Amino acid sequence: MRGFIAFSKKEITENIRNYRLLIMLAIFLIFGLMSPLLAKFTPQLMEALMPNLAEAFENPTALDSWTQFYKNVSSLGLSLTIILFSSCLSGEYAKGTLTIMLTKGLSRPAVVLSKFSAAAVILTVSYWLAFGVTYGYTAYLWPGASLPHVFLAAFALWTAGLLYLSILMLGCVLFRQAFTSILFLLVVTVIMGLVEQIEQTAGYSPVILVSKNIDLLSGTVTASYFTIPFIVSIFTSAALLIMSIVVFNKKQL
Amino acid sequence: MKAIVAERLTKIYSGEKKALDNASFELSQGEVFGFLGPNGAGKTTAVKLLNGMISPSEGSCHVFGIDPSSSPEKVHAISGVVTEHAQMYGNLTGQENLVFYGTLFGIPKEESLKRALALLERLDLTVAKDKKLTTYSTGMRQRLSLARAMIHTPKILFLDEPTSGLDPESAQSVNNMIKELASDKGTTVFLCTHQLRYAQEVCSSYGLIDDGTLLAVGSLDALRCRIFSGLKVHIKSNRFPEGISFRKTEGQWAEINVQTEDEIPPIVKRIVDAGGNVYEVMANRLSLEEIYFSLIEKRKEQKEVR
Repeated sequence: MRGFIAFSKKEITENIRNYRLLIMLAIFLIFGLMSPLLAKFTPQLMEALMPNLAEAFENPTALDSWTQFYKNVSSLGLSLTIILFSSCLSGEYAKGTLTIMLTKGLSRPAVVLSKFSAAAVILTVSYWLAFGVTYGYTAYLWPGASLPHVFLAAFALWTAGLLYLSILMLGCVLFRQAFTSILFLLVVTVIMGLVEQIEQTAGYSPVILVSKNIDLLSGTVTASYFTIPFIVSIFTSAALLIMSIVVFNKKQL
Repeated sequence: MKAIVAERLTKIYSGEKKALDNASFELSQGEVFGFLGPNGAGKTTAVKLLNGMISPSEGSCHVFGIDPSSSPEKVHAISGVVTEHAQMYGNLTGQENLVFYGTLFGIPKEESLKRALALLERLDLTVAKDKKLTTYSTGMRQRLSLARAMIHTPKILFLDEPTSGLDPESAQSVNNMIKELASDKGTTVFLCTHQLRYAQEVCSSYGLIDDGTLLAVGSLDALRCRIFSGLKVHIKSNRFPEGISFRKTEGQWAEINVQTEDEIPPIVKRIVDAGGNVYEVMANRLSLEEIYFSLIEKRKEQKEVR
């Protein structure tokens, strides 16, 4: 536990110093601010740029604001997170910094868990900050608008984000290069996407948490539809972290 | 108790030749032991074996009575390692790096900070303590690496080329610290280097290694006895009378081997009596470098005979 705490503190300090935290906060904050604004002013923008299509964008609602937010966060936000944290272990491999600590008693599970925890904390802070800003701004721009399951939809995407981080962690443990870790994550994501496409397994895929959370707000799907993907995501994340620890325990540094 | 005991220590990497072959040596506490040889001689392999990072193929070793291959964590608790590359965190400051490693080694944060500040001062790094490691020069990083190795006050230090890349001033500061650690605190130092002249300045005993084979172990005097225990006298004169056994070297210089200093004045007197002028006289014992190359030469000859 001592090693985990010391290493986690070091991770957070490093993430502040190498501007990862700042970049994450800034980008997610921009998403939080821009999503409601874009939704609100899309009609004016369309009228100025493409007057023929302007009619289709008339009367934006709070749902448009949230749709914009989730589109931004699930695509650009998560991609940025993955890119930023893909080098979390490759840098240590390249500099040889881990060897001396592991010989001094730092446990290998502590390394994996600290790396994951630091990334998860930064994603969590950035994501919920953006959510809070969008929530406040949406309430301000569309006063009185009420949408169902606003928090559950946000929780779904956050859970998926943590799942992606745990897949990335296994990739980082398996491969020395950051690029290969990202490639590994892409392959796993494609497989999860395929699971969603097969009728018999569609309801089990964690991808639902990303692709259908907006449907929760529009009322197209019910909250119970997310129960299984939630459970699958949590257990898969835990299993991936355990696998990462097992692989890292056997890895020659 | 001996600081290190290695008995017939051998390491064969999978399918390859012997990285270390049958090496036996002992170190007492407080000794500064120079493990000397060219790159690829087996020095780093020995350090890894003594730290339990790899297991011996044959033979055994003990560090303060602990077998590193069966209890590496016990050896790590009493040892510090400095490698050629600092391997620390560039985004943390010098002080933060030391406190981080101190905490990791089980020292409370306040105590880690206290020790870190003391070490930074001792190694002339106080001015740079709040600067990120990325701004440090090679010499500063190397000194910080030494500070890290000492933060948990180890009983034994393994130093692999500790002055590599250091400017003369920094090297001097590191050397003084090594000597002080051994004499004042009784820290045993296992120093790996290929710089023989540097080793002669710092070490109290030596192990000379080449191609995985330990050629000789002992103090400088003991090593000299294996080759030539006497003095090499260099005389510059315009005339060397017959009857004196000498070897012409350069210009008017000649080299004469003697066993003791007492033999030098009669030689000079004979040259003067024979009408020669003596311009300069220098007497030297064999340097570590000369001993090393003599041993290498001997080994080559033995190989050729076989």
